[in-house]
Amino acid sequence: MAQQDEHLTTEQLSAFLDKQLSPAERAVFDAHLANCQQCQSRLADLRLTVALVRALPQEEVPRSFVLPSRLAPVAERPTPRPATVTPVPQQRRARVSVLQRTVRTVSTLAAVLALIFILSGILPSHLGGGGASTASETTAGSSNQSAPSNSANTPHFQGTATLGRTPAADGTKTPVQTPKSTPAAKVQSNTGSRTPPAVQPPTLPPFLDLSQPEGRLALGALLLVLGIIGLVVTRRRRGTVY
Amino acid sequence: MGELLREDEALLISRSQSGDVNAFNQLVLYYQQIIYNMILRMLGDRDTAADVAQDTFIAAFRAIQSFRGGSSFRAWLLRIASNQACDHWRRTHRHPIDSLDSAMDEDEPHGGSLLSTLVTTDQAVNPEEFLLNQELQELIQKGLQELPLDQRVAVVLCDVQGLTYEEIAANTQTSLGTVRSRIARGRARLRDYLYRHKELLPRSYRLLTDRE
Repeated sequence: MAQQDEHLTTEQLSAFLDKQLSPAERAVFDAHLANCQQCQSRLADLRLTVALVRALPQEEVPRSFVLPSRLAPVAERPTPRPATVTPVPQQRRARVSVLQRTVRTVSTLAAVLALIFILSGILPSHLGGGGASTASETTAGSSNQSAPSNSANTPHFQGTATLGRTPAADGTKTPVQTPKSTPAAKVQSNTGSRTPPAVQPPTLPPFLDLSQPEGRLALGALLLVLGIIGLVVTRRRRGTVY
Repeated sequence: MGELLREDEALLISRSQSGDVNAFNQLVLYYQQIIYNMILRMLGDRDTAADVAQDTFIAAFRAIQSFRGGSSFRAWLLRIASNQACDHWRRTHRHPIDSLDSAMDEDEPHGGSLLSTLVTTDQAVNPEEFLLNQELQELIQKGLQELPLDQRVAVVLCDVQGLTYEEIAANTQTSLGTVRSRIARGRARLRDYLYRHKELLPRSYRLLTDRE
């Protein structure tokens, strides 16, 4: 009885219209509604409101919303389509294609650089030394080189090597060895000073050492791989844009 | 526009997922009216609705990889559409209607069949067959736009698009209880709005009160 005196909530009325009342709720609902004029008219109003919204006509589209086929990422055959291009998709496509172009350009540059590195790593050892690759000759290990030319190259080599070296490795090794090797007995210590380059790889990753052909080869290969990945990714990216 | 068979739709979706715009465009042609009307009822302006509908299909194409087969593609599109419409509304309306002030639309049982004053007797008998005149259409549309966004989405999805409570809950990522409450408050608010503006309606829509 007490339940029936409480008016139904709008939520109950609304849910009733959508048949969303649980059986228990429904029982209370029916019991109250049967005897309450006020809730009956509230229900009628709500029902009418819903009916009015539902009666809103479906409007025709003012234009077609098909996408321009240029948006096609993996479009096999770009067939000419009625151009329904709006400024919005154009902007977005432009942004995406700028990003793609940038990545592609960078990848191409990386690949070109890679080839240069690889060539400069390969050529000198084959041609027996060009003028530009003095440093590589020392480490190329052409053991039959004359002593003077070697000693002339050694400081030069160490100078370039420090560029690629970490400051820590620099501070520990080079200062100790350079004074010993160069000013002192040249020919004698020359063979001794040849050891550092050979020992160097452990302290310095070979691919970081640009003065060595192996280093350039490695770096070239790395760049080449990066370049290829970049190109492949941008080609695939066009599919999943965003 | 014809019927779109489930298998055909699934095929078009999977082709779209592999980047085929032409396949996607067939889906666009099929769903564009639904999507456009959804957005139109949310925002009220035809030009704006067209722009947002276009954005919706672009966004849908870009996100189509994330669509899981088996669920309703229509509901998925409607979710994107309602998100796009809400985003647009928030961008263009600096002072959104506070959902909290909806306390006013809570159960204040009013006496008499007030809203029935809006419609003619014949129509009241068979409300499903209303032929709304232009003024009434505009009034209802304005009333919808007065609703707080969350209620508006719920009411439009429910009463314009005919989604179930479950679909709306999934669509708006809320609970069934929340959906039920939003729909109820939205409808009540709309009812009050229509009643407050009944003077805007043509005479023929006030027959019931006159009689009573």
